Amino acid sequence: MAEEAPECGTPSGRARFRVVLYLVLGLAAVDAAVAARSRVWRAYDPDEYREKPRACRSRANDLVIVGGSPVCEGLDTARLAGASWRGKTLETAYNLGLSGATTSEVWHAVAHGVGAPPRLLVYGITASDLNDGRDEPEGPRVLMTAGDVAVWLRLRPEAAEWCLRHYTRGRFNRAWSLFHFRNGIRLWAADCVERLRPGTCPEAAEEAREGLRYADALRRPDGYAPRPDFQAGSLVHMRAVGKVPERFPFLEKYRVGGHLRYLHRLLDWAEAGGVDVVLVDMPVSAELERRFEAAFATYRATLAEVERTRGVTVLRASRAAVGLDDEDFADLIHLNARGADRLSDWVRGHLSESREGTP
Amino acid sequence: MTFDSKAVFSFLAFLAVVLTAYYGLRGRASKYRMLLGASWLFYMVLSPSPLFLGVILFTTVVDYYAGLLIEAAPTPAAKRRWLWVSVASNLGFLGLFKYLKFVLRNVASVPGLGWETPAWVDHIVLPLGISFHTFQGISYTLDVSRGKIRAVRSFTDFALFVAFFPQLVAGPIVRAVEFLPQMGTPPRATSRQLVEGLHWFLIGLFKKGFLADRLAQYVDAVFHDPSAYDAVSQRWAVLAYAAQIYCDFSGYSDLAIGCAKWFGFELPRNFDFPYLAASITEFWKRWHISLSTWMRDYVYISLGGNRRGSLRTYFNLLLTLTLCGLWHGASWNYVLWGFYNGVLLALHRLYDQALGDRPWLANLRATAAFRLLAVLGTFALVAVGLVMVRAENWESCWRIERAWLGWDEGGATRWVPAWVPLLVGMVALGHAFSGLRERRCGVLDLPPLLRAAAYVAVVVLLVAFGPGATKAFIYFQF
Repeated sequence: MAEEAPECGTPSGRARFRVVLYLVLGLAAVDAAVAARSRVWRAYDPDEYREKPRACRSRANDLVIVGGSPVCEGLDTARLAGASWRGKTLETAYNLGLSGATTSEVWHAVAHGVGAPPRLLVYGITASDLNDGRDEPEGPRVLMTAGDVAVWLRLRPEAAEWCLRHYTRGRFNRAWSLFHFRNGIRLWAADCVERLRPGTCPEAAEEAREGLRYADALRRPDGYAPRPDFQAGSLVHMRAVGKVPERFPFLEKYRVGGHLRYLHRLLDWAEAGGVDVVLVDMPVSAELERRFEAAFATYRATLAEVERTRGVTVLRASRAAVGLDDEDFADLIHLNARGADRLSDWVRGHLSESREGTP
Repeated sequence: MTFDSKAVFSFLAFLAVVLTAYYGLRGRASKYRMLLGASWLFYMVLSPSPLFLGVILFTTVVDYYAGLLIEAAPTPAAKRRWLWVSVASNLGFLGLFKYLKFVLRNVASVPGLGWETPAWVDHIVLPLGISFHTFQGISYTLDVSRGKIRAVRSFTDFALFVAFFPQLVAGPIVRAVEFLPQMGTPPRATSRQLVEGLHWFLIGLFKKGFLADRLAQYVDAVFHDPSAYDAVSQRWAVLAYAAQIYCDFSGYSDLAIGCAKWFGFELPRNFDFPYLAASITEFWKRWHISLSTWMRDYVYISLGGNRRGSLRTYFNLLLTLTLCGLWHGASWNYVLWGFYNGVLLALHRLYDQALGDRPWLANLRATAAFRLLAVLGTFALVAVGLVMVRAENWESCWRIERAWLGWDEGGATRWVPAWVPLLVGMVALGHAFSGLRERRCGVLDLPPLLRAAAYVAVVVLLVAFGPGATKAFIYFQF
């Protein structure tokens, strides 16, 4: 189309592109400045998928506890440390539970977050961990390396595109610090503004303070960082105020296969490293089991098959066995503080019952 | 479609691929075929169902052949026949998908009729951008019949004019006379277009992704339950909504204009700092310009315009604006909003004709104080109309209108977070900084270093302070 303006190559054309050059340089400078203060942003918006494996790897642990959010909330490392396993005390323990993790994430957390092999690995497993109907993006985005992606493509070709997409997205995020730390920057700014002028953005400032509290909790040497709202929550209260969600997507479209392969990888790794493994079938609320009867039947049959074929110890922490009722649950699947204490003591008791040479 | 970081990155990736292909391919036909295929793909991905591509294909085919047949028709009657085929097919689809549900529900609500709305009516889904592409099709055949433009021989050219993806889903409504002459040879973007494209793209993203979506959080809360808030909060919600809808829609237009520039195409300007209008007539010359000029040229003038006496002129104004309201949405609040604007236009015309030629009024109008008062007064009236559109029910509408017009019922909570006045102030400042100067974006005239710094600030604000999960474009629903 006809254009009266001077073209590229002419002095005015080059002047126009100076704007683009300055923009690119400006964005690079901003990014460098943001990256230089990454600790500040991480303090406001901690990423447990990064922090926990890093902290776990930094020291040798006798006991490492892994699993999804039921483990984050329900297995208190302080109560489990000091338990004996095959006659010897487990002095140090770390809760490497990750919110939203499936068995695939659990495996990658172990692969990258456990340095020296522990004496015992406790995996608090539940039905949703093995559900191929769900894939959680944090694994490819944060935990996985290029090698892990290659293995995934081989083991789970049906989710290959999904894995590649999230892995690429994770890499891209990390390459652009402004984008990667955007939430931390927002919370830091809200906190600063709220300090200067209280009442300006109270919701965001509260979120910032919550982030700081959680970052502190993640720095605990035993990794147990339960969420305050779960600690104080009650399924009975939720039900009374009509807040029990109608859907529970983590168990929808239930099928087992892909994530199970990673459970076998985990057991292979343990066998090769001489690490004992105990699977704890985590307790869930009666309502959840009722809603997903078929899913739990499939899951328990799978667990029994793994127990039989791999000779792994399975502790069945049912509600009846542990002595839990709805008052011990914060919601359909997570235990509150009281429930976590009961389950942790129950697991500790069963671990201590083990003898030298017998699982 | 939500407008979040995933959507933005997906669109940027799509845009990069299409631009690379456009400049990589040789020959007019292959470039336009590729661009047309990409536009249809874009439409299918964004549509509620890919099958809706059939709607745009059908109207495109009808309008294309209607254009050729109108031009070849030997008599005015034959021209009119083919013109009606085109208009009826476009309006037929628009009526079916957009207005049938509204009409049937209203018929069913007539007392004593004993008739119920059929269940299938609830399953009618609006195809994306139907209000925009059907109006483009109608304008084309009307322009051919009026001899303003030659019928297009190439189907690809015509289909690309209808479906060009930057403006496909939410306008601007591009006229054939504006677009088709640019297609003679595939345009190459000039250095000015490349850099200005970047400018409009960033400004559009900022308006939509930062200003509009942040303000929406406040607007949604207050409009959802106005009785929970005091009059001051409700007034801020009205101001915030005025800023939100402007940033949302003009933001999309800016994005479309920016993207088109990267292909070397120029799309018409759709907004011209509307809140600086000193009268309602001026407002409609600055707001959604492509629609208001379309309504003027193809509805108001077709009805006779101002050529058939005063009474008929006022009737034409009322009808045109009511239809304009109905175009925005099939519900009574849009009808009322359109009618209200028609009344305001009629009253302004009456006032202008009664007093317009008095020298003392001309002198008064030339003063800055009068202009300021007129701008504020016009904005207040426009905002009354916007409340009609945004309120969730008539009771809320009445409550917020009373608050806006000065009633204070007191008693409820005051909630005006500091960022609300800040963002509304940014929109007002943007109008003042650019609109009061030469009615063009002032950032374009800054020295390169300052201009780049402004863009960096835009990116930082957008990335770090834009809402996490943003909302769909308001105008996508029209």
